[in-house]
Amino acid sequence: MTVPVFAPLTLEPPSLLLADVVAGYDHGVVLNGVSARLQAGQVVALMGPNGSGKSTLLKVILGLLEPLGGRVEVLGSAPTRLDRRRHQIGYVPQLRDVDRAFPATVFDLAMMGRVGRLGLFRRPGARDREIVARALEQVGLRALADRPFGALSGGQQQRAFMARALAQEPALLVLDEPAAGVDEEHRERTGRLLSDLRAQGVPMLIATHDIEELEPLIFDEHWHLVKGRLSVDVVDVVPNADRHESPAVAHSHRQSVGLLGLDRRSPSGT
Amino acid sequence: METALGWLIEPLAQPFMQRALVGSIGVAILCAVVGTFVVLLGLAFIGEGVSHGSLAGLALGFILKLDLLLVSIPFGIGLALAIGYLAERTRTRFDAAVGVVFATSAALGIALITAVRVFPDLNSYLFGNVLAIRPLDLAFLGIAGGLVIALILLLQKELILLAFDPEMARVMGVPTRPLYYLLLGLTGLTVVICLRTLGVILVTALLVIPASTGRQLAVRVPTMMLVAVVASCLSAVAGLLLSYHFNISSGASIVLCSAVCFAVSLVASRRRRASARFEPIGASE
Repeated sequence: MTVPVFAPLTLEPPSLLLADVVAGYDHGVVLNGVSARLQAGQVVALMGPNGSGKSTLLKVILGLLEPLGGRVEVLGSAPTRLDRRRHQIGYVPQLRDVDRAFPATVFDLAMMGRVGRLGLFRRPGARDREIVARALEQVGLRALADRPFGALSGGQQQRAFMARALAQEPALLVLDEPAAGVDEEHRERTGRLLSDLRAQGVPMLIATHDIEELEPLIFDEHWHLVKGRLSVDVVDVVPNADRHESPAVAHSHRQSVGLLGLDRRSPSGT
Repeated sequence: METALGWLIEPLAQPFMQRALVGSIGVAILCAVVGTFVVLLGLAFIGEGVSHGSLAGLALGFILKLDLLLVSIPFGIGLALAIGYLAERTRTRFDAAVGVVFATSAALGIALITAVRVFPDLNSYLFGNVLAIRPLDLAFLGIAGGLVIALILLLQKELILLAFDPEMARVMGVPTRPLYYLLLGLTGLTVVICLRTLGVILVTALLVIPASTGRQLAVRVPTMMLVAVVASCLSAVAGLLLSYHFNISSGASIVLCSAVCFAVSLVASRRRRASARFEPIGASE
């Protein structure tokens, strides 16, 4: 089984490599041979109807679920064996009910992102506090740093989780429906924030229902997951154009066929 | 004034009361620190299970003519781990797992005690007798309790993450399962250490009530722990004095004092929330 991707142009290992991944639970297989590659600096939208296996794929990538077959590499090693580098996957979960009474400030929550990097027994130092403060600044929550986390609105909570992921200094950012369940203003802020991160070269995999809702963020690829199979849609970003000034151009050039005319819509792994 | 001071100081002239004071303050600090994470992780009934279940450990120790503490410790830790295992790996839910393990072990304890007929000190184990603390108990409390507190403080940030967001803890490579069992084991150990002072029936109270007091008042975990320690120590000292002067069980008076602290915290946090209610959050953005 070959991986239907182009040879990488750089020597850097891909941020994420999926090769014929099979995964599932006791009641059956959910992912049926998923292959894809997310290169350093790329931003990918993971799309698919409910029940298509999106959350299973995210679990495999995050190392929460051991695949039944195939190969998963995050930053060059299997997610369950990343060990000390594992904290480099920044993860922003879907907005959900959290324990609002939990005794933590917004700053404390963002500081949780440092746990993996610090390692066991070590306490956060001045540098960690600086990184957390910067992360809160980036998501626009610096002024609320000392507020109890539970007092934030839904959109603000989502951004606090984003700050936690940024505090991880992630080499790959995984976001699960970052725009779901938040109001227009927060959606816009999220789109701008992610767009900034893209400009900084942070590779991202974003599970989303609707790519438009994250504008002005533009994607390099759309991964469509249907019934446990993945097809890749390359978005043709105009070369040399400033990525941030031409989202409209990029979108209008979206096409389902890759650079060399290879059909990349065919389900992977077949 | 002088009599009030005398009421506070006079009991401490006695060596056994000095031991009792040191012992109950040690127990109070230990329970508050461990209790903070017991409450945050929703394991409040684990102490209940271990303490009631430890009756069997005590009975076994007596029958085997071994030091009761020596037998109770592995027994208590084992009970805590068994509860955790049942809750995590089988279809039994946590509350039911506590019910199964504690009832079984308590029944075994009662069976053994009634079979032996004479069980020395049974009352002091059931209801706690801080006045019966031996120097050996104190030494053990200092060493084992200090170790437990040190471990919890060293693993603080991981435990906080585990309590708040276990999924994220796993993503970040925190060894969540070993951590969960470690906390269970430490809780079991804590319960056994505190048995003498508080008694089988009431030992859980000091794990849960001061930490809950802290949670009412604090918005950060370290503050919660600090409030819990203060409330717990106050209760221990006040409870001990009440126990001495009114000749009531030390465990009961300490727990009642901690319940008063909790009630005060309820009122205080309600007031604070009422005054904060009209301040719209996000306005400063």
